[in-house]
Amino acid sequence: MKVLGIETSCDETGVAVYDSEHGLLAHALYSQVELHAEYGGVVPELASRDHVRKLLPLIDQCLGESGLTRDAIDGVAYTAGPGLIGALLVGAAAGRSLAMALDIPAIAVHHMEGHLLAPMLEENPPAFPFVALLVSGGHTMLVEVRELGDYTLLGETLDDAAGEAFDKTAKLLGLPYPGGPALARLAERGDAGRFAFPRPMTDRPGLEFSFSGLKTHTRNLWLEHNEDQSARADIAAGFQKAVTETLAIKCRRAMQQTGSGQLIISGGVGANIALREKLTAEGEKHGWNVSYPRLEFCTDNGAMIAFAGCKHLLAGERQDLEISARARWPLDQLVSAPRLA
Amino acid sequence: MKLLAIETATERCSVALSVDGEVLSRGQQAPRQHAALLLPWVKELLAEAGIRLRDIDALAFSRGPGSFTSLRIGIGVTQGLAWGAEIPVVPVSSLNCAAQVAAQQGVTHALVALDARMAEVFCGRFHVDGSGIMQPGGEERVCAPHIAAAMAGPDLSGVGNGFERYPALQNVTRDLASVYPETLPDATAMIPLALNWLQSNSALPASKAQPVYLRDKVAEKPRAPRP
Ligand SMILES: Nc1ncnc2c1ncn2[C@@H]1O[C@H](COP(=O)(O)OP(=O)(O)OP(=O)(O)O)[C@@H](O)[C@H]1O
Ligand SMILES: [Mg+2]
Repeated sequence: MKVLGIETSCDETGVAVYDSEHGLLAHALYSQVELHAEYGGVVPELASRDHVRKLLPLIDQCLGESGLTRDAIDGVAYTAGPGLIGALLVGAAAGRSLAMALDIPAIAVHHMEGHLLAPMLEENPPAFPFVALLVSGGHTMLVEVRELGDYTLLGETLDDAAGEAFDKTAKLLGLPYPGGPALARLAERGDAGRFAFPRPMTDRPGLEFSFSGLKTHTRNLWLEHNEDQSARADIAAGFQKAVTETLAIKCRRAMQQTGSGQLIISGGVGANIALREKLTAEGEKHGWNVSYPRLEFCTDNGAMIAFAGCKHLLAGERQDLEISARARWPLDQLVSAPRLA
Repeated sequence: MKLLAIETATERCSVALSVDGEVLSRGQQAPRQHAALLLPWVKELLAEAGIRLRDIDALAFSRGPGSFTSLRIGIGVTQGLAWGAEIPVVPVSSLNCAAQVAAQQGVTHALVALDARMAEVFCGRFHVDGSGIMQPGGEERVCAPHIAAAMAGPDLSGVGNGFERYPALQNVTRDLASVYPETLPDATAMIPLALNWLQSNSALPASKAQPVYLRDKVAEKPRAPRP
């Protein structure tokens, strides 16, 4: 089955064609990062406007790269939420209509499920069941994945998401938007041991996260040391280490609690090298297998949507003619999404 | 000639299918329901006419101006249907469309003002030609209601919800030939406009189904960071 995947939930237009027999055939991405950089954050209306311009050219590009005609597509998958409602509606309207025009089934995909399954696009894919650490711009959660569609939320953040904490801390330190990758680069040159940082929520049981305190801690340190040029990299390194260690501690607990031997990391912060190194080392120490998507599939992309959609279509699920999009959509409510069996 | 038309610029949602001059349609006031209504309606109309989407010669879409989100739902649907079924598209102005609806009620010169929120209206002037088609009589713009009101004249009819929602426009009722505050763009009126457009233009590829927003300043850039 060849599935066209469409992702427009935030500031990237992603399109891909995934074939259940031959794997990923093509994928294309247009990032709006530069468009929003001038505003210091994503402007929803501008994001929607850009998706309307870029979507069909990207679909044409993907089809060209995969060497398929439009009639060779067997299904369409589009991100239906969570995300920016106006942006989601662009991809949902075009994707659902395109399927109707081609007389093929469509499926509405949960964006976080896309992230969750993204490592399965790689060689030697992880097999169900596993534990997933989702760390992105809007989410931080540990999820127990028993099989396709069977997801239990083990814990999530009580305030800022990990990516958000990276971005806000970067902004405090005067780094350019988007701050996460810039902060990670700066941290490479810093001494993570110079300043002490807390490891939030690790002194009590549970799998919840909280990152807003780290941000405040960083602000205070920076106010105190902003005359000292080397302090900036040292603070960045200390912050990054605090986040990665906190995430690692919670992953260890989740693995113990579930008895799982497979951990997967996904979402934009999953591109962070220090986090990957830390969790790979943990895996070796405790005997778990740790899987990641390739770096470009950590952040938003069409490939993960095509893949997740293909799995649901193969399971016989179908979306009716209503164009559905939801700004909020808890992952554990996946099964209650409007679908026709 | 088989034409499908989709109108989503306002809280009214409508679809029309014209098969060799015979028009089938669906339409209703549908705040926040455009996404749910459009495709089932298209399917119903095609079934009633006994044709397939691929038999359609052109897909007319409302290019705006109008409510950004509903406009993009209609345009997303247009892009998907047109791309999938390989049908070309025809842009139709929502203001021109409202004027055409009014023409069906006997209006010959229209000052259209649709609520653009944020205390503004989308407005434009239109005049009926010898074949009953409303033709633009100047630029379309987004402006304060009192600026639109200044365009009023005794030979013009006021058309659109701007005339019921803003005092500045309610106040010029006396200066107008007549007022149709409840008239909104509707897909049936897009059919003659699209046919007229096709007389002097060729239909466009699906990717050219793009909105005309008129309001382009949608966010403030932050001031330079403090030193
Ligand atoms: N190398 C990195 N180190 C740390 N953070 C990073 C790195 N690369 C990307 N990020 C962060 O990842 C986030 C973007 O990830 P992603 O695109 O998955 O999030 P999103 O799609 O905006 O949010 P969500 O998927 O929750 O809706 C940003 O916060 C960004 O700063
Ligand atoms: Mg994401």
